[in-house]
Amino acid sequence: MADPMRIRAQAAGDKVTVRVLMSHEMETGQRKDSAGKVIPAWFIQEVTAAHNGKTVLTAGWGPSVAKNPFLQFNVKGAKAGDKITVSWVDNKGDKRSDEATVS
Amino acid sequence: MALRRLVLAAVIATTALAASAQDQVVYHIDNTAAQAVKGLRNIRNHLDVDPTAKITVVTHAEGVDFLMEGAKDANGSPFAGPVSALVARGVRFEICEITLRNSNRKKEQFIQEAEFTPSGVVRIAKLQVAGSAYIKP
Repeated sequence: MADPMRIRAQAAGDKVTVRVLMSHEMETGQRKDSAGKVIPAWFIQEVTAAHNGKTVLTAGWGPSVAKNPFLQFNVKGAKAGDKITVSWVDNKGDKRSDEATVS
Repeated sequence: MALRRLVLAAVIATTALAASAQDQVVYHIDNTAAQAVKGLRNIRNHLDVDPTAKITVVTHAEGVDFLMEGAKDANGSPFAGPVSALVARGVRFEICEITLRNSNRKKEQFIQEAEFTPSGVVRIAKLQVAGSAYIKP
């Protein structure tokens, strides 16, 4: 299981800015190790974000996204106390889901 | 002859062991103005020369300031970029929670890459007892 994501959601006016720091190797499948063997690809394929359980964002990612990715987005109409959930699935089928409360 | 070969094998084995063990280093920062820019440069150079080093930066007192959201150095360039670049290279940045309580600051005021430790000084002592080298930039 990967390390938890760090999620911060801050309300300003009628929108909430969500900032997510994910912990993932994001291996491209192009690199070789010191013995010259190809390191198999390992990356996040799908990211979803939900506001109080309703999906507000879906993203398809690929191997070109950097290690430990950072994602920022705004949610309109959200307010303090709401729940923001972010989840990802990688190409090995590993999953991770974390939640934050808007402040 | 057999004995010599055995000794040689033992020597090779110990050098291989020494080469594979990674250096553990703790950097101690308790004054942002005097140490932060220099310390970040030291760590960058450290990793350039020894990429396998396991580096932990422990900050307390005025040393936590450069890990706050929006912190900038004396020339006005933000600390967040260089810090997250080092985190990507495996460096841990830890903030003393006693300092937070004494200065009434919350964890949310610090950059997301930062980690927290109950006491900076205890952490430094424990790391050193566990074999880390100590550097105060």
